[in-house]
Amino acid sequence: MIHPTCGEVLATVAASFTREIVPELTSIEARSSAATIEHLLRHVMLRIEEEGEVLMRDVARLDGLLSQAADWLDESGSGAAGALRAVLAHERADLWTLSRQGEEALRLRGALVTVQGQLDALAEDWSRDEGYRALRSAIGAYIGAQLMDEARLIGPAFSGRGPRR
Amino acid sequence: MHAFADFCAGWFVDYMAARHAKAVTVDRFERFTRGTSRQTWFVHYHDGQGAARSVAIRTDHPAGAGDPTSLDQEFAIYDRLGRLGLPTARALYWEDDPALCPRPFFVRELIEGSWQVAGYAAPGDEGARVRLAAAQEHMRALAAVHDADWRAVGFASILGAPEDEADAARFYVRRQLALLAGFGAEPQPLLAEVARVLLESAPPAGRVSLCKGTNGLGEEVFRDGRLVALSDWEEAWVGDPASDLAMVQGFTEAIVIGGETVWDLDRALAFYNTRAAVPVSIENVRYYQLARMFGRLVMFAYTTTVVRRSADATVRQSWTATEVQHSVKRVLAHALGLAEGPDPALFEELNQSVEMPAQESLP
Repeated sequence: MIHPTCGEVLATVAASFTREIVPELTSIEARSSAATIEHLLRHVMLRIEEEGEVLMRDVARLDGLLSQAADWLDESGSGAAGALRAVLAHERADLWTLSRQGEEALRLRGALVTVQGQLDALAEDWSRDEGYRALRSAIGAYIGAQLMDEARLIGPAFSGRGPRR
Repeated sequence: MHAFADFCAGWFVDYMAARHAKAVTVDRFERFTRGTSRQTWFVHYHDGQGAARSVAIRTDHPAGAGDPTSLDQEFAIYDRLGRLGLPTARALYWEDDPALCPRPFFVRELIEGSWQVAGYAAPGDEGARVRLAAAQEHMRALAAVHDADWRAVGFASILGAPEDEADAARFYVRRQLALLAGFGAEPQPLLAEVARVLLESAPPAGRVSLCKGTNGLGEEVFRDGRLVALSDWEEAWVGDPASDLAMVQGFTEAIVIGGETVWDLDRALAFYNTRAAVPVSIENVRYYQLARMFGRLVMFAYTTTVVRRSADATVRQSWTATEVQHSVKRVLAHALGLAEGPDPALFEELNQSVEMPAQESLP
């Protein structure tokens, strides 16, 4: 840890901005931008603290979900699992930085969107299959869980803290 | 003419001399602060003969518009609207000569009035009557838009059109997916899930009409309680009029007078159906509440690409790509039973701006 932390430095930036700059603003345009900036500074501070954990959990969830998808696609005999197995076998770079964590999550989300398209194409023949339905349900559960994790980076920074613009 | 980094009074004086051979003096050159997708500048000036004039300039933000449709499409929409006789600001001219402007823009009439309705936030029955009158005025205007002959002025050539009433909802979804593919958004499993549900449950339209898209309080121009200009057409499309009733800002919220609820979405729809040539069903309105949110999420996915590619993107665009986009995701996920929805009060909060503290006193 390097002190002061990014969060601590940004906290002084945000406080000084609110205390010393905002009261000097007279035009509506400037006050509107300042209001947005204050909200976004809080949002960035939250992301510095929590985004790494959110992304790593996302990557872990996607690993499990895509493995489940590959297994079902193999069982279905649709021949659609090959590309997905390649995605899962991809040798993972280290995930030491936020940007690499984000890139990995995006890579896996891209694979999931491909799986969703494959499932749509198979729906007519397989929609009553228990494994198909379980996979669809797991995809829905993933979307919800990921979104509620993302909510941790949004709500506390914005809600109840005044006009955004 | 001098080079200007951005639109300003000095630029306007030079531009009017260089392009239109007019010596003008600018009284006020103001930016409208509420606009998110594009920039709007209000210019009040005197021409060479001393006559007072006012126009609005529409242009993209320096890093690009916040929505995936183009500025020249918006100009073409206004141009055609002027020929339909609807209450809209007339498009005057288009300019994209890089020697004459910081970036392409078009000019339209500035209609005298405000997005705010006088007395709207007044307490008690007095304010409620103002809100009711404004909401009814808006419903009449929407019916006029939907009754307009969009084929006669060639809207299909700029917006496309569904094959028929049965194709309207799928056309809307296909159009959004095409936009998404066109600008290369990051993969979003939620979008894929919502698209599937929308395509599976697409209802036929009562008719195929010009639809305004963004509409309601904050999007139109009022003067003396009358709606004098329908504004903000960037989400316009040709399809099911129910889509406009599905996402009306402010004007379908409940209004109580003398202890009796006199207005809400059902009553607004009933009122609209007495004015429009073809009625809209509540079932289709419910469908488009989801579909329009899907369209919004596509728009915000585009805004995200704008913020990612340029530091010239505005802080407003960063906000749209973060809190607003997240809120819309939550609404969609909730509708599909996948996650908790946002606090219903959030949307009123999102609509507030620093210039409108009086709105906080709304019931």
